[in-house]
Amino acid sequence: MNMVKYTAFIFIIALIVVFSFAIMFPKSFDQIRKAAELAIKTGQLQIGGKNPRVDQIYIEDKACTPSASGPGVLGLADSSVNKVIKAYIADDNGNCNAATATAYVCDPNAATCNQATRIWQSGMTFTNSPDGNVHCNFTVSSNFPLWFYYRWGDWKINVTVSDPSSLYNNTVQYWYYNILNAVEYPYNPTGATIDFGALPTVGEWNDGRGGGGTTGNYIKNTGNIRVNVTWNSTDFTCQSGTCTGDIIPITNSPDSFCIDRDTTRNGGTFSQQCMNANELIQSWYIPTGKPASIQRCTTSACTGATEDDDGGSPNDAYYYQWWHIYVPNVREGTYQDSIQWTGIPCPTCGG
Amino acid sequence: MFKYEKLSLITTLLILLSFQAVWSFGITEPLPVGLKLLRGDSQRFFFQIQAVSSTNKLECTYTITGMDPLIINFDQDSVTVDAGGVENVYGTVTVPETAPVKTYSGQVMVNCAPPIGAQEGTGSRLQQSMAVQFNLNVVGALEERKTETIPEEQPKVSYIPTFTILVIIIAIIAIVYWFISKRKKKK
Repeated sequence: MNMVKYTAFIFIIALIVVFSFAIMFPKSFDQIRKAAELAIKTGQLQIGGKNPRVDQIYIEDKACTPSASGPGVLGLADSSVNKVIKAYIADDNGNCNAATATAYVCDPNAATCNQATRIWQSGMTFTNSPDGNVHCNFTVSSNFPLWFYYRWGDWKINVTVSDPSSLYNNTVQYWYYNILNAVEYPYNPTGATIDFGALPTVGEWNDGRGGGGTTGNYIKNTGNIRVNVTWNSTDFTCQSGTCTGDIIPITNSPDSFCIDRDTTRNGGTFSQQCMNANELIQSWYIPTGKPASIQRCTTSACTGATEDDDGGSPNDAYYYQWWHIYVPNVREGTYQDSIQWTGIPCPTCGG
Repeated sequence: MFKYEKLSLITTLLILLSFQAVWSFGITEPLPVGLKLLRGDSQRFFFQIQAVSSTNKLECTYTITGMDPLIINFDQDSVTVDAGGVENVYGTVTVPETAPVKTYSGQVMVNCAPPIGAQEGTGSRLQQSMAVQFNLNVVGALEERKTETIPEEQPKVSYIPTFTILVIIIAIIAIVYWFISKRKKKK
């Protein structure tokens, strides 16, 4: 009798433990339940001579679409994010678990998506089957690294599948790489300063400033679209020292504060763009002979002369930037202004 | 006067700008994309503010323009993004019954700056604004409608109360069993 009681007691305790596990960890419990269900399914359908097919492709568990405007996917500025690609494959022969599948990912520039036009590819491995290997879930062996510099827009994935009899098929479906508008200035992953340094001369221009005195700082497009950047600045006002009440006015007539891609004012390879003290008036920074935008990188580092989206030299996605400032006769001290810059993505700028 | 100017030329030392930390951010186009809503519909959306390469915490505000007469409400008016972090900004767009059927192309503008005090004594307060487009279609027919449920941030659930309740239940069962066993032994 005691044995029966003990057994009943242990059974109740076990039920409570299982019940509590299910409440506390519902996802894990569901996975265990599904695994148990699969383990007891033994039926298999055998039909010869049928090609396998790819019914559905997923990126980060979102169903891709047969035409453009697929599910939106987000990238990460100046980084890559690994995306899981899955496919739901069918084979009426009932042996889709033995199929060989490969995923090809193509950017918006590719008219068709295949091995020749892909940005990235990976073999896919069988994960499980809900119905005795008539339908199978496959997932990529290594995840797709979605880099910040890949172009925004409608992307494609081609999943090609073949069975042990070398019968094959493929499907192309779409997803959308959401616009990521990101620009970094000053660009230096280990830390950087915008520093005009000690300006020794008053009553004249101090050219080629911005990164610890007479050096510049890099600006980098860390997103996936060309960006138009506008700058403006308030007047510099005295903050400390013996300059109380003094200001360094920022004006366009005459110019007093300019941004440039070289250290030479009124000359050099690029012309400077000067800004106004009125914060409502913004100055477009338009390099001579270049589109009014910071281009998109085509590599992660983006340091090469041609590693921008037009492929031409110099690099218009990652470059040095300098400042020229005219300092009138003001007294010694520390001056401050307020610089604001605005980045507007330019979907129609190309790239 | 001349003496003063000459003295200035020799001794003036101007430290105009000196930011001691990198700060920058990016924003993403709102998700979901390609929405097609009917009049009277409401749809949740979100976009990300990314400060992955920033060494400063950022305080950000945001606005949407160009979407009238659609009604757009953000869950919060502003957000603080930790250095190196990413924050989702959630909102709801509602289509009034009188809204014209057409494509709406608006602009999300995000303005971020380090918190006041983060740049004290070292130069200017630098402000950065980034924009991104927000496109949405208002359609007239039900079969054209396309909506999508976004993954909302789940509130962090503490399992401690559930666990405590289970421990108490087990303890009660054990005590009852012990009590019954003891009574039977006495008999």
